[in-house]
Amino acid sequence: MEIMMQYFIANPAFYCFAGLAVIFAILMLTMENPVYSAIFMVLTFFCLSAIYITLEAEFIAVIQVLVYTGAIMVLFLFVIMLLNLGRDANLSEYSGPMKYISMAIAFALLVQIGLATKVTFNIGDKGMYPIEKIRQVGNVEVIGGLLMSEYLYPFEIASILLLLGMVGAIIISKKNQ
Amino acid sequence: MAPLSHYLILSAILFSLGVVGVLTRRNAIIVFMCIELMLNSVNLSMVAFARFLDSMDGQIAVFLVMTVAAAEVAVGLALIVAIYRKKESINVDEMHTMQG
Repeated sequence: MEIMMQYFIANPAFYCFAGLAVIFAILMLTMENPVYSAIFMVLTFFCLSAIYITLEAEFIAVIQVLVYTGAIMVLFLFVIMLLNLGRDANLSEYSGPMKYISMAIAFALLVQIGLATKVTFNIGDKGMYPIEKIRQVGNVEVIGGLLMSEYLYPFEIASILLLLGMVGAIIISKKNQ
Repeated sequence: MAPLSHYLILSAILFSLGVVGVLTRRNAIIVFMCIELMLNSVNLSMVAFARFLDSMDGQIAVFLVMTVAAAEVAVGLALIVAIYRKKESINVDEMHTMQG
Protein backbone atom coordinates (compact mmCIF):
# COMPACT_ATOMS: atom_id res chain seq x y z
CA MET A 1 0.00 0.00 0.00
CA GLU A 2 2.77 2.35 1.04
CA ILE A 3 4.73 1.52 -2.10
CA MET A 4 1.66 2.05 -4.32
CA MET A 5 1.18 5.49 -2.73
CA GLN A 6 4.79 6.37 -3.49
CA TYR A 7 4.39 5.35 -7.14
CA PHE A 8 1.18 7.36 -7.36
CA ILE A 9 2.75 10.53 -5.94
CA ALA A 10 5.78 10.16 -8.22
CA ASN A 11 3.66 9.93 -11.35
CA PRO A 12 -0.01 10.78 -10.80
CA ALA A 13 -0.79 11.42 -14.49
CA PHE A 14 -0.09 7.86 -15.58
CA TYR A 15 -2.13 6.21 -12.81
CA CYS A 16 -5.11 8.57 -13.22
CA PHE A 17 -5.28 8.04 -16.96
CA ALA A 18 -4.65 4.30 -16.60
CA GLY A 19 -7.62 3.99 -14.21
CA LEU A 20 -9.80 6.09 -16.49
CA ALA A 21 -8.81 4.02 -19.52
CA VAL A 22 -9.81 0.79 -17.78
CA ILE A 23 -13.13 2.28 -16.58
CA PHE A 24 -14.00 3.61 -20.03
CA ALA A 25 -13.04 0.29 -21.64
CA ILE A 26 -15.37 -1.59 -19.26
CA LEU A 27 -18.17 0.90 -19.99
CA MET A 28 -17.50 0.49 -23.73
CA LEU A 29 -18.11 -3.23 -23.69
CA THR A 30 -21.13 -3.16 -21.36
CA MET A 31 -23.19 -0.47 -23.13
CA GLU A 32 -26.29 -1.69 -24.97
CA ASN A 33 -26.38 1.17 -27.43
CA PRO A 34 -23.47 1.11 -29.92
CA VAL A 35 -23.40 4.92 -30.08
CA TYR A 36 -22.42 5.07 -26.39
CA SER A 37 -19.91 2.31 -26.99
CA ALA A 38 -18.28 4.38 -29.74
CA ILE A 39 -18.09 7.41 -27.44
CA PHE A 40 -16.48 5.38 -24.65
CA MET A 41 -14.06 3.83 -27.15
CA VAL A 42 -12.91 7.32 -28.07
CA LEU A 43 -12.53 8.30 -24.41
CA THR A 44 -10.40 5.19 -23.83
CA PHE A 45 -8.18 6.16 -26.74
CA PHE A 46 -7.90 9.72 -25.41
CA CYS A 47 -6.60 8.29 -22.12
CA LEU A 48 -4.11 6.14 -24.04
CA SER A 49 -2.98 9.25 -25.89
CA ALA A 50 -2.34 10.99 -22.56
CA ILE A 51 -0.33 7.94 -21.45
CA TYR A 52 1.78 8.23 -24.61
CA ILE A 53 2.54 11.80 -23.53
CA THR A 54 3.83 10.49 -20.18
CA LEU A 55 6.11 8.21 -22.23
CA GLU A 56 7.29 11.25 -24.22
CA ALA A 57 6.02 9.85 -27.51
CA GLU A 58 4.35 13.07 -28.64
CA PHE A 59 4.01 12.18 -32.31
CA ILE A 60 2.24 8.90 -31.51
CA ALA A 61 -0.04 10.72 -29.04
CA VAL A 62 -1.06 13.28 -31.67
CA ILE A 63 -1.74 10.76 -34.42
CA GLN A 64 -3.63 8.62 -31.91
CA VAL A 65 -6.07 11.50 -31.42
CA LEU A 66 -6.13 12.38 -35.12
CA VAL A 67 -6.66 8.86 -36.43
CA TYR A 68 -8.93 7.42 -33.75
CA THR A 69 -11.13 10.38 -32.85
CA GLY A 70 -10.83 12.14 -36.17
CA ALA A 71 -11.24 9.30 -38.59
CA ILE A 72 -12.20 6.01 -36.98
CA MET A 73 -14.87 7.30 -34.58
CA VAL A 74 -16.57 9.28 -37.35
CA LEU A 75 -16.56 6.15 -39.49
CA PHE A 76 -18.05 4.06 -36.67
CA LEU A 77 -20.75 6.62 -35.83
CA PHE A 78 -21.52 7.08 -39.52
CA VAL A 79 -22.09 3.35 -40.00
CA ILE A 80 -24.14 3.05 -36.78
CA MET A 81 -26.39 5.90 -37.83
CA LEU A 82 -26.53 4.83 -41.49
CA LEU A 83 -27.75 1.37 -40.53
CA ASN A 84 -29.94 2.84 -37.77
CA LEU A 85 -28.61 0.44 -35.14
CA GLY A 86 -29.50 2.72 -32.22
CA ARG A 87 -31.04 -0.09 -30.22
CA ASP A 88 -31.43 -3.42 -31.90
CA ALA A 89 -33.98 -5.46 -29.98
CA ASN A 90 -33.17 -8.81 -31.60
CA LEU A 91 -29.50 -8.50 -30.63
CA SER A 92 -29.85 -10.35 -27.34
CA GLU A 93 -26.38 -10.71 -25.90
CA TYR A 94 -24.92 -13.95 -24.62
CA SER A 95 -25.87 -14.93 -21.11
CA GLY A 96 -25.33 -17.79 -18.70
CA PRO A 97 -22.39 -20.21 -18.93
CA MET A 98 -21.01 -18.88 -22.24
CA LYS A 99 -20.44 -15.45 -20.71
CA TYR A 100 -18.69 -16.81 -17.61
CA ILE A 101 -16.54 -19.21 -19.62
CA SER A 102 -15.31 -16.39 -21.86
CA MET A 103 -14.65 -14.17 -18.84
CA ALA A 104 -12.65 -16.98 -17.26
CA ILE A 105 -10.63 -17.37 -20.47
CA ALA A 106 -9.89 -13.64 -20.51
CA PHE A 107 -8.94 -13.68 -16.82
CA ALA A 108 -6.59 -16.62 -17.40
CA LEU A 109 -4.99 -14.66 -20.23
CA LEU A 110 -4.58 -11.63 -17.96
CA VAL A 111 -2.95 -13.71 -15.22
CA GLN A 112 -0.65 -15.32 -17.76
CA ILE A 113 0.52 -11.98 -19.19
CA GLY A 114 0.83 -10.52 -15.68
CA LEU A 115 3.01 -13.40 -14.53
CA ALA A 116 5.12 -13.07 -17.66
CA THR A 117 5.87 -9.42 -16.83
CA LYS A 118 6.73 -10.39 -13.25
CA VAL A 119 8.79 -13.55 -13.65
CA THR A 120 10.60 -13.86 -16.96
CA PHE A 121 11.31 -10.21 -17.41
CA ASN A 122 14.57 -9.81 -19.24
CA ILE A 123 15.23 -6.38 -20.70
CA GLY A 124 17.27 -6.35 -23.92
CA ASP A 125 20.13 -4.22 -25.15
CA LYS A 126 19.75 -0.45 -25.09
CA GLY A 127 19.05 1.23 -28.43
CA MET A 128 20.57 4.26 -30.11
CA TYR A 129 17.97 6.84 -29.07
CA PRO A 130 18.23 7.77 -25.38
CA ILE A 131 15.60 10.26 -24.22
CA GLU A 132 18.05 13.15 -23.88
CA LYS A 133 18.97 12.83 -27.55
CA ILE A 134 15.31 12.74 -28.61
CA ARG A 135 14.50 15.77 -26.45
CA GLN A 136 17.31 17.68 -28.11
CA VAL A 137 16.19 17.02 -31.69
CA GLY A 138 12.46 16.54 -31.21
CA ASN A 139 10.35 13.41 -31.34
CA VAL A 140 8.70 14.17 -34.69
CA GLU A 141 12.01 14.88 -36.41
CA VAL A 142 13.55 11.61 -35.24
CA ILE A 143 10.53 9.59 -36.42
CA GLY A 144 10.40 11.48 -39.72
CA GLY A 145 14.09 10.87 -40.35
CA LEU A 146 13.79 7.16 -39.63
CA LEU A 147 10.70 6.79 -41.82
CA MET A 148 12.50 8.44 -44.73
CA SER A 149 15.73 6.45 -44.36
CA GLU A 150 15.79 3.15 -42.50
CA TYR A 151 12.06 2.38 -42.71
CA LEU A 152 11.40 3.70 -46.20
CA TYR A 153 10.05 0.42 -47.61
CA PRO A 154 7.57 -0.24 -44.76
CA PHE A 155 6.41 3.37 -45.15
CA GLU A 156 5.81 2.93 -48.88
CA ILE A 157 4.05 -0.39 -48.31
CA ALA A 158 1.79 1.32 -45.75
CA SER A 159 0.79 3.90 -48.35
CA ILE A 160 -0.05 1.17 -50.87
CA LEU A 161 -2.04 -0.63 -48.15
CA LEU A 162 -4.09 2.51 -47.47
CA LEU A 163 -4.83 2.87 -51.19
CA LEU A 164 -5.91 -0.78 -51.38
CA GLY A 165 -8.07 -0.34 -48.29
CA MET A 166 -9.81 2.63 -49.87
CA VAL A 167 -10.46 0.82 -53.16
CA GLY A 168 -11.58 -2.32 -51.30
CA ALA A 169 -14.00 -0.41 -49.08
CA ILE A 170 -15.62 1.26 -52.08
CA ILE A 171 -15.95 -1.99 -54.03
CA ILE A 172 -17.31 -4.01 -51.09
CA SER A 173 -19.92 -1.46 -50.05
CA LYS A 174 -21.12 -0.75 -53.59
CA LYS A 175 -24.62 -1.98 -54.45
CA ASN A 176 -24.68 -4.99 -56.75
CA GLN A 177 -25.87 -4.20 -60.23
CA MET B 1 8.04 7.81 -14.62
CA ALA B 2 6.13 4.68 -13.66
CA PRO B 3 8.02 1.39 -13.99
CA LEU B 4 7.76 -0.57 -17.23
CA SER B 5 5.83 -3.44 -15.64
CA HIS B 6 2.95 -1.08 -14.76
CA TYR B 7 2.60 -0.02 -18.38
CA LEU B 8 2.66 -3.67 -19.43
CA ILE B 9 0.03 -4.63 -16.84
CA LEU B 10 -2.26 -1.82 -18.04
CA SER B 11 -1.75 -3.10 -21.56
CA ALA B 12 -2.60 -6.65 -20.43
CA ILE B 13 -5.78 -5.45 -18.68
CA LEU B 14 -6.96 -3.57 -21.77
CA PHE B 15 -6.16 -6.56 -23.99
CA SER B 16 -8.13 -8.91 -21.74
CA LEU B 17 -11.09 -6.51 -21.73
CA GLY B 18 -10.94 -6.58 -25.53
CA VAL B 19 -10.99 -10.38 -25.45
CA VAL B 20 -14.02 -10.34 -23.13
CA GLY B 21 -15.82 -8.02 -25.53
CA VAL B 22 -15.04 -10.11 -28.59
CA LEU B 23 -16.21 -13.30 -26.87
CA THR B 24 -19.35 -11.98 -25.16
CA ARG B 25 -20.94 -9.44 -27.51
CA ARG B 26 -23.05 -10.31 -30.56
CA ASN B 27 -23.20 -6.86 -32.11
CA ALA B 28 -20.61 -6.94 -34.91
CA ILE B 29 -19.79 -3.23 -34.51
CA ILE B 30 -18.97 -3.61 -30.82
CA VAL B 31 -16.89 -6.72 -31.56
CA PHE B 32 -15.01 -4.53 -34.01
CA MET B 33 -14.42 -1.81 -31.40
CA CYS B 34 -13.04 -4.43 -29.02
CA ILE B 35 -10.58 -5.54 -31.70
CA GLU B 36 -9.48 -1.90 -31.97
CA LEU B 37 -9.01 -1.87 -28.18
CA MET B 38 -6.77 -4.94 -28.40
CA LEU B 39 -4.68 -3.32 -31.15
CA ASN B 40 -4.30 -0.22 -29.00
CA SER B 41 -3.22 -2.16 -25.93
CA VAL B 42 -0.43 -3.74 -27.97
CA ASN B 43 0.53 -0.27 -29.22
CA LEU B 44 0.83 0.87 -25.62
CA SER B 45 3.21 -1.93 -24.74
CA MET B 46 5.31 -1.21 -27.84
CA VAL B 47 5.64 2.49 -27.01
CA ALA B 48 6.52 1.63 -23.40
CA PHE B 49 9.23 -0.81 -24.51
CA ALA B 50 10.58 1.75 -26.98
CA ARG B 51 10.87 4.34 -24.23
CA PHE B 52 12.50 2.03 -21.71
CA LEU B 53 14.93 0.50 -24.22
CA ASP B 54 16.08 3.88 -25.64
CA SER B 55 14.87 2.79 -29.04
CA MET B 56 12.69 4.33 -31.74
CA ASP B 57 11.66 1.11 -33.48
CA GLY B 58 8.62 0.63 -31.25
CA GLN B 59 7.18 4.00 -32.20
CA ILE B 60 7.71 3.31 -35.91
CA ALA B 61 5.93 -0.03 -35.46
CA VAL B 62 3.02 1.74 -33.73
CA PHE B 63 2.80 4.17 -36.64
CA LEU B 64 2.54 1.24 -39.07
CA VAL B 65 0.01 -0.59 -36.85
CA MET B 66 -2.18 2.53 -36.85
CA THR B 67 -2.04 2.64 -40.66
CA VAL B 68 -3.11 -0.99 -40.83
CA ALA B 69 -5.87 -0.35 -38.26
CA ALA B 70 -7.24 2.55 -40.31
CA ALA B 71 -7.34 0.43 -43.48
CA GLU B 72 -8.86 -2.45 -41.52
CA VAL B 73 -11.64 -0.28 -40.09
CA ALA B 74 -12.52 1.06 -43.54
CA VAL B 75 -12.74 -2.41 -45.08
CA GLY B 76 -14.40 -3.98 -42.02
CA LEU B 77 -17.15 -1.38 -41.79
CA ALA B 78 -17.74 -1.74 -45.54
CA LEU B 79 -18.15 -5.48 -44.96
CA ILE B 80 -20.63 -4.80 -42.13
CA VAL B 81 -22.65 -2.50 -44.41
CA ALA B 82 -22.65 -5.16 -47.14
CA ILE B 83 -23.73 -7.89 -44.71
CA TYR B 84 -26.49 -5.67 -43.29
CA ARG B 85 -27.83 -5.08 -46.80
CA LYS B 86 -28.08 -8.81 -47.38
CA LYS B 87 -29.27 -10.06 -43.98
CA GLU B 88 -30.88 -7.01 -42.32
CA SER B 89 -28.90 -7.82 -39.17
CA ILE B 90 -25.38 -7.53 -37.80
CA ASN B 91 -25.71 -10.29 -35.24
CA VAL B 92 -22.46 -12.27 -35.47
CA ASP B 93 -24.37 -15.48 -34.73
CA GLU B 94 -26.32 -15.10 -37.95
CA MET B 95 -23.19 -14.92 -40.11
CA HIS B 96 -22.89 -18.66 -40.69
CA THR B 97 -23.35 -18.92 -44.47
CA MET B 98 -19.88 -20.39 -44.92
CA GLN B 99 -20.28 -22.98 -42.15
CA GLY B 100 -20.94 -25.78 -44.63
